[in-house]
Parts: sequence; structure tokens; C-alpha cells
Amino acid sequence: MVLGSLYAYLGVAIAVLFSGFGSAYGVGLAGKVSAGVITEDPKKFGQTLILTALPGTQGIYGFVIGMLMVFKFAPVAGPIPLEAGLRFLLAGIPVGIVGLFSAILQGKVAAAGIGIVAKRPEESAKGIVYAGLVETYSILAFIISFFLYSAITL
Amino acid sequence: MAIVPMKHIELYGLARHKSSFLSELQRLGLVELVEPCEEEISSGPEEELRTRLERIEEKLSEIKRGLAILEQFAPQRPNFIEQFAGMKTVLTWEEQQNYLAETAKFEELITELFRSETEHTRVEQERAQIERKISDLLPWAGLDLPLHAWKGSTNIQILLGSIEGNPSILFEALDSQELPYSYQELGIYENRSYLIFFCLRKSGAEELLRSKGFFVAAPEIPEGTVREHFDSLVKRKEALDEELEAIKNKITSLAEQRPMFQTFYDYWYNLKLQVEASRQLLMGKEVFALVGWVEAEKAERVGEVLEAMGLPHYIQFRDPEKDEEIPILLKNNKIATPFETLVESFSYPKQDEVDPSPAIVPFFFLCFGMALGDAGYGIVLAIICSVLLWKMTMKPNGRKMAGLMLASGLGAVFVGLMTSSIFGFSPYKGIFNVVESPKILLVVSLGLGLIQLYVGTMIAAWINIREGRWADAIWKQGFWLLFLTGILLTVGAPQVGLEEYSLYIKYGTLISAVLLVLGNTRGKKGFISKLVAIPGGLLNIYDSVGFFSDVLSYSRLMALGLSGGVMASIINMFVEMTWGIPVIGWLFSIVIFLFGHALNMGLNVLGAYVHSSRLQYLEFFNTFFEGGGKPFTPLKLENIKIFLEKEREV
Repeated sequence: MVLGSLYAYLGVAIAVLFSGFGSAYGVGLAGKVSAGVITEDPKKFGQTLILTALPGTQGIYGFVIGMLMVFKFAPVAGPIPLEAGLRFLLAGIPVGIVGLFSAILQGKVAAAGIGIVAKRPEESAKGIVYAGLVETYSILAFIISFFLYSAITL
Repeated sequence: MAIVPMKHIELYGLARHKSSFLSELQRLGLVELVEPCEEEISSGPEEELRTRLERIEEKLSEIKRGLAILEQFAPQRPNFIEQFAGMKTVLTWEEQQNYLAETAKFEELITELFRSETEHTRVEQERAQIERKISDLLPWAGLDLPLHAWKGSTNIQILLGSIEGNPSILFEALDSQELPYSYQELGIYENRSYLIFFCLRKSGAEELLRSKGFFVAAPEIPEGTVREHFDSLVKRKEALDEELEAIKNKITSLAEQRPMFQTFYDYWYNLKLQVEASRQLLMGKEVFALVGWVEAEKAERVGEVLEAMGLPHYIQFRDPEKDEEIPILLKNNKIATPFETLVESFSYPKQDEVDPSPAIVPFFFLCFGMALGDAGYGIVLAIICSVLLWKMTMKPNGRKMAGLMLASGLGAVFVGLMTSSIFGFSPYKGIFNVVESPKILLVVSLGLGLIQLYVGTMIAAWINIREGRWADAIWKQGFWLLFLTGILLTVGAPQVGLEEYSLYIKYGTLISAVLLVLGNTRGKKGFISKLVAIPGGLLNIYDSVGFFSDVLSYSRLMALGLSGGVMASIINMFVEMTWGIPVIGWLFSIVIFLFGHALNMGLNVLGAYVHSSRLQYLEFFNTFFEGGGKPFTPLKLENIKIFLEKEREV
């Protein structure tokens, strides 16, 4: 049935789309602040780069789940059964939605952490750890998405 | 080794020798001065200090300005590594001393630099002026009538000027009035036509032209033709350009002496530190007193060095008193030293705590290794860090960080070789494959977490035993571990084939739970207060939820290892796909391989570092470590702008 394939595709789209959007937003936010710091002190590029890159991981988790799903259903000949399609859809939701919010919020924390880099560079490791804390939840979502995905049989 | 034992130092000397003592102590860099209490501060020679400090600040800002000028004319270009690590000029000790010996030459250099800069500004201003004049003259360049002829003759009037747009309305106006005239068009410049008119005087031609929008304005030249003046201006400008070039070259050649400027900057900066330190002295009329801390091992050395100065003084060392707060310095063996940086960026331990750095070593190694999980990435990281350590001169903190990353990279090599994962390829059969059987990875991650948290609890017990609180160790940590093990076995017994013992396990768990609750009533007097303490004891049981959620937190290692592994294999898939393209396929696939893996490695190293540290900070430290100690900050010579190749032995 065609509907099954549709749902499976939707699952991939949700996983990649939302987490990717969140990461783009988060990295954008942190990047904006970083650029501001660089105008004052170009030597801080390295440290700001680390904080700017941090919210990028959610997008990767979403991409990994999306890719794994495609690898799973692409080689299968014929349409995907409706139930399997719905499972793909559901498996994509955690990593997508949690990734969206955690990347945006992580971007905000990273932007604040870049403030630490600007004012007290010796303490910048702490800013990195704070930003890292936000990521925990997207990691948990990634794990669940992954196990939901592995449970799907075609 | 862990936290370095300190000794309290008291030093008395003559007030007039104050600076000599301070500069010697600064050179030694072994003593941390303690701010005297509020009521002990004497009103001392504050005024004198302030003027000295002002003079130093002046000097510093002067050198800073000099360095800024050098940076403006001959900017330093940081290479890729320096972008991250910052730029430093590396000098040997001899070079530094040679620079410092040439105070007079430095004064000369800096005045010369300032003079050149002022000169540069002046020349640049003049050049701008001339440029403006040239651009004013440009429309008149075609005018070959010399200046003295502009006045005209008795009958002929000469009008120089310009009009917006097309000049034909002027001719039409003159023609319609039938006025005799002649003219020459000089050209159009910025949409204005420049013209010269020859008319009869008092014919009213001038008024007519003005009324039609002709703006009469002659160019300003001293004599001769416009062209002549124009040429002389251009010549002058060229001369100024040459002059500017010469000044620039001069400043650039001065920039070769940049290390000298930097050396002197550091010199004055350290002098400032020294003068500021003298605020921390207790001043009497004739005698000063200095209080501080020194490493117990180094105390004797400090005494000897001060003795060698041959100035009258009295020095006294003593061990810290029981509740005195001592500054914390960590010292570990070669392997554990890099891991101190993790502890230091969290918080220094308090004096009665243990230094957790050695305990972190194996766990951070494995956590990072599992999170990165690829031998290829690991070896690249390790090689980069070894090169940095080998080639770059870094501050101790930078060295520690590089060492940490080197060790972590080796952790990834270890895990990657175990699971057969090298740049996402799996050339042989490892113990298990991360991408194919992530459940094993999850179990290993949680297992590592369980072991680390058990170790943490045991360290807490060991601290209690060390402090002589045997009962605490048994009642708190001992039964706690028994209880946790009981729960684990109750749940896991069937899996490991201990079904027949499950009854004993259940009772064991129950008993240890009861003991744990009862443990909370220790030290409480009377039956009632013991009874009241029971509910609090139940909370101890509830802590097990926290414990197991901490263990679950280690699942992130699996997520990081897995996502990195999957990304690596996706990159390799693309590489294989492009390899098949005829003729240039190999080029594309090499680019994809290098770029893709570099990006994936960067992000994964970042994630592995952040999450491995987090596991130490939040999960591991939670079991035994609080922190909050004050780091040891001795008065010493600081390197701000320059870097000595080898720190001189003192």
C-alpha cells in the first residue's frame, strides 16, 4: 500500500527536518554572538568556534536516524506495509522534536557561554559544559529513536 | 601525591629592603602572599605606592601604544594553530636578559617609533590636502591660459566657470541678446560643464550668464597655467607617497624589534605585580612583615635563597593550623597530571578532600574512547596533540590540555581497535561491531558507569576511613553498596544464572535496606529522636533511584559512539559511490573522505570531550567530591607577551 511508504518518508522527514532546523537556529544564534566577540578580539576564534559548533549535533543525530531509516527501507522491493510505515514515522518523532527544542535552547546557552569567553576566557570550559548539559535530552531522544527504529522489521 | 602540603611563612625584614625581598620572591615564584586582615592594615606609604603604580601604568600604556602601532604597520599573522592557542613570542632566557640590559636603546626605539608615527600622520594629512586640491583642479586641466591673462584686457573680460548640465542654453541666451562672445569648452566633470567665455566688458554678458546658471569660479593657482600647477601638485604627492613609504618601511623595520617591546612590557607588568604585592605587607616604621604560604617541600629552598641575599631578616615556617584555609596546588604523576585540568576547571578540592585527578584517569580515558569510538580519529587526535606538545611552547595549562587530548585520543584508539573501527571501516572482526550491535555498546556503557559510580562510593568510604570515621564508612557507603548490589542481583540474577540463590539475594537486599535506614538513626539520642530519624533513612533508599539514573546517564556514550560510527560509514558509502565515477572519481572520493571525516571527527571530539567531562563532574564527583578550594597563586614572574623557551630553574 502506498500509504505505508508515505508514512515512512514522513518519518525520515520529521527526524531530519526538525532537528536540522533546531541546529541551524542554535548555531546561527551562537555564531552571531561569536562574530560580535571576534570584532573585539580576533584571537578568540578557536574558543568561540567550539561553542558555536555545539548546537550542531542535534542535526547530526536527526540525520543519522533519517539515513538509517532510508537504508532500511530503500532496498526493500515493493511498497512498505502500513504498520511499518507508521513505525518509521513514530521513530522519527523523538529525535526530531526534542532535537528542535534542545538545539535552540543549547544555542542560547552557548551564546551566553560565548560571553564567558569574551569576559573571562580562562573559565570558558565551564560555558562549554553548561551548553553540553542541554544536549543530554536530545541524546536520550536519539537513543529512543534508534531503538524504535531497530525494532522495525520489514 | 595529590594535594601538595603547604607551610605557613612569616618573613620580617627592614622596611627599606622591602623591594629587594619582593623581587626575589617574585623571581622564585614559590610564595603566595596573604592579604592582611582589615584591622592589621597600616596606613603605610600608600601615597608613594600610588605614584609608583601610576608611573608603571603610564609606561605600560606607552609600550602598549607602541605595540599597537607596530601591529598597525606590520601586523602579525597567526597561523591556524595560533588562532586557537594565541600568539606568543618565544625567547631564550639569554635573549630576554640581553633585551632588558638595553634600556637606553629601548627608550630610543620607542621615541623613534612615536616620532615616526606622528610624522606619518602629518604626511598623510598633507597628502590628503593635496589630493583634494588635485581633484579641485582636475576639471580645469585643459585650460592653457596662464594666470596673469585671466584678468583680461581693457575691453575683453574673461569669465571662468561651470554650469550644471548642457551649456547650450548659455550660447542661446547670448545669441538672442546678440552679444559678441567667444568661448572654449574645457570638458565635463561630474555632470558640470566647465567653460571659459571671452566677452566685451560692460556688455552685460556676465550678468546674463550668471542669471542662466553659469557659476563663475576660477581655480586657485599661485601662478602660471593650471597644467603647470597641476603637475607640481602631482609631483609633490609622489614625493609624499615616497616619504610615506619610507616611514612605513622604517616602522616595519622597527617591528623587527617587537620582541624587545614585548619583553619590556612583561618587565613593567611584573614590576606592577611586585608593587601591588607590597600592599599585602604589614608595614611598621622600620620593619615590614610578610605572611603567606609556600609548598612544604620548597620551604627550605625559599629560606636558603633569602639567606643568600645577605640582608638582615627573620623567617619562620609552621604547619597550617587545623581549620586554617590553605591554598590548593595539585601535583600528580606524569600520567595523571593532564587530567588535573578537568578537576581545575570544575573546582579545586578543599584541603581535607582528596584530589580526584588520579581516579578520573582510567574512566575519562574509556569514556572518551567509547564516545569517539574510532581508532582512526583517535590516532589523528593523538598525533596532533603530540606535535603540539613537541613543537609548541605552551603554558602549563595548555600542556595539560594537550596531554589530556593525547591520552583521550589513545583511549579512542584502544576502543576503536577493540571494536574494529578505523575511519568508519571495519577491516577485521572486532569484539563486537558498534553499528551492527549497539545494544552491546549500551550495556558496556552502562557497565562502565556502574563501575565508575561504585569506585566513587568506595573512594567516599576510603576518605571516611582515612579520617578515622570507620562507622560512617560501614553504615553509609558499605551498606549502600550492598543494597545497590542486592538490587542489581535481584533484577539480573536470572540473566547470569543465579536463580537458585534469588531468595538469599532478596533477603540480603532487604536486610541491607533496613540497615541503611537504621544507619540514619546513629548518633541520635533517645528513642523518640531515633524514631523521627527513620523517615529520613527511608530517603536513603530513595537515593537508589538517583544512583541508577546516574548510571543511565552513561548511555550517552553509546549514543555518541553510535552516531559517530554511523556518520563515518555514511561518509565511506559516499566515498565508494564516487569512486566508481570514471576518470575523476578518485579525486572526488578523496576530497569527500578527507573533508567528511575531518568534520565528523571535529564534532565527535567536541561531543566526546564535553560529555565525558560532564560524566565526571555530575555523575562521578557527586559520589565523593565537592570542591571549593582556593587555588595556589604565588607571586611570580608572569609571561604576558613573551614566552621563555625554557623556564629557568630557580
